[in-house]
Amino acid sequence: MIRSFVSLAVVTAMMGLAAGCGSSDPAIAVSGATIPVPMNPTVAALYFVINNSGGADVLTQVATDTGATATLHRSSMNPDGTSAMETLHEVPIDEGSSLAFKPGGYHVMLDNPGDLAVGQQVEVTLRFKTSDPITVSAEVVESLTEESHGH
Amino acid sequence: MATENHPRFASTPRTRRQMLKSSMSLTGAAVLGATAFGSGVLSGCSRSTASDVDVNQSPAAALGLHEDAILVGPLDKPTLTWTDHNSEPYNIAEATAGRTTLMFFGYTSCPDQCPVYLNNMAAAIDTLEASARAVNVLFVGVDTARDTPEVMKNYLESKDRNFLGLTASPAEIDGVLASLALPSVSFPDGTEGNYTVGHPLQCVAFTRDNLCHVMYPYDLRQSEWADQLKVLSTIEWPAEES
Repeated sequence: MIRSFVSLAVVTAMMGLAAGCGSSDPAIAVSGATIPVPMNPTVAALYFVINNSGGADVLTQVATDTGATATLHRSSMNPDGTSAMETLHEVPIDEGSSLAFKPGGYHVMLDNPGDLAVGQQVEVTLRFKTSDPITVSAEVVESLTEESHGH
Repeated sequence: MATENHPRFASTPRTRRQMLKSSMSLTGAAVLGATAFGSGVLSGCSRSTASDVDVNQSPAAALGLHEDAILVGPLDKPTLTWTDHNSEPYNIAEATAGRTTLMFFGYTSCPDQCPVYLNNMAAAIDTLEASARAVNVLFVGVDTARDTPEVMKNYLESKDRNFLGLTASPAEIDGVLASLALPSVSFPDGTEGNYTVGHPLQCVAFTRDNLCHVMYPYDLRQSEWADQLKVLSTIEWPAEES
């Protein structure tokens, strides 16, 4: 009786351990959502930071209340030195990771966002494969400061 | 010189800038002493003092330029007459003669990299003394269908009234890119909706001698651009070895 109790406890502990390694629930927080006033009013970029203190998840969609078509993008550079823009249908969020959407990398392209004024708050909803949707407020900023460029 | 020891870059992922450098050598521009670039990474974190003779410096840093600047050529300034964002003819060589001139090839519907460059440049120019602001910042709109003079005027003047947009035919733009040993512009298969365009990310710098000796990665910080504009406004290039 005691032995079976102990083994049950061990199994439970092992399950807990296994969960910590890969199958625990994601625990996602989104911060620092900003939209620089676009130089071209027909296209803006949305940046934020995703912190995940739990298991892996996948970002599948971002929407705003601006009426813009929002597309997940990643800017990069081709081997020949030209710009590359990749449209992404999902972005993996690794277990226990932090992923910054920032200039020159991951960003959300907002197609036809309408008028955006400095100080305006835009409601942003992020959808994930596992986690419930997260809604945050993005602030429209004049332009990204040097410090927020994420170098 | 502020460009010598750059601790911030010690921990910066350098992949893109390294790619930019290797792309420059691939496209045929003469990169001087390219072997020193890699070791420059180490100088930022392992050396505590700058010495007069720093073998770990990049060739650009040895000239007082940003360590990630790419030495080229020297290459000639284009002599073509293009159209500026006021729809006026603009002869690049004549209009910019004897002045520090930066040329970037981008497009106004670019959501990310082009505004990054222009924002940092505008902020950098804002910090300069009037005397150091004598710089022409030219933005060549490579997406000629959408980068009309009117669109570029609104786009650039929203950021800095001294920025000037230029447009030309796609063939002329690609011709100038080729003359600068830069890759040509690439469009996606379909150009409906808000399509994106592939364009060189190098910022081309012409100095008072009307030649391009150096190009920059697009994503220098504001303070780095400010520093470079000051350096470029007074730099004397070493005589070419024959």
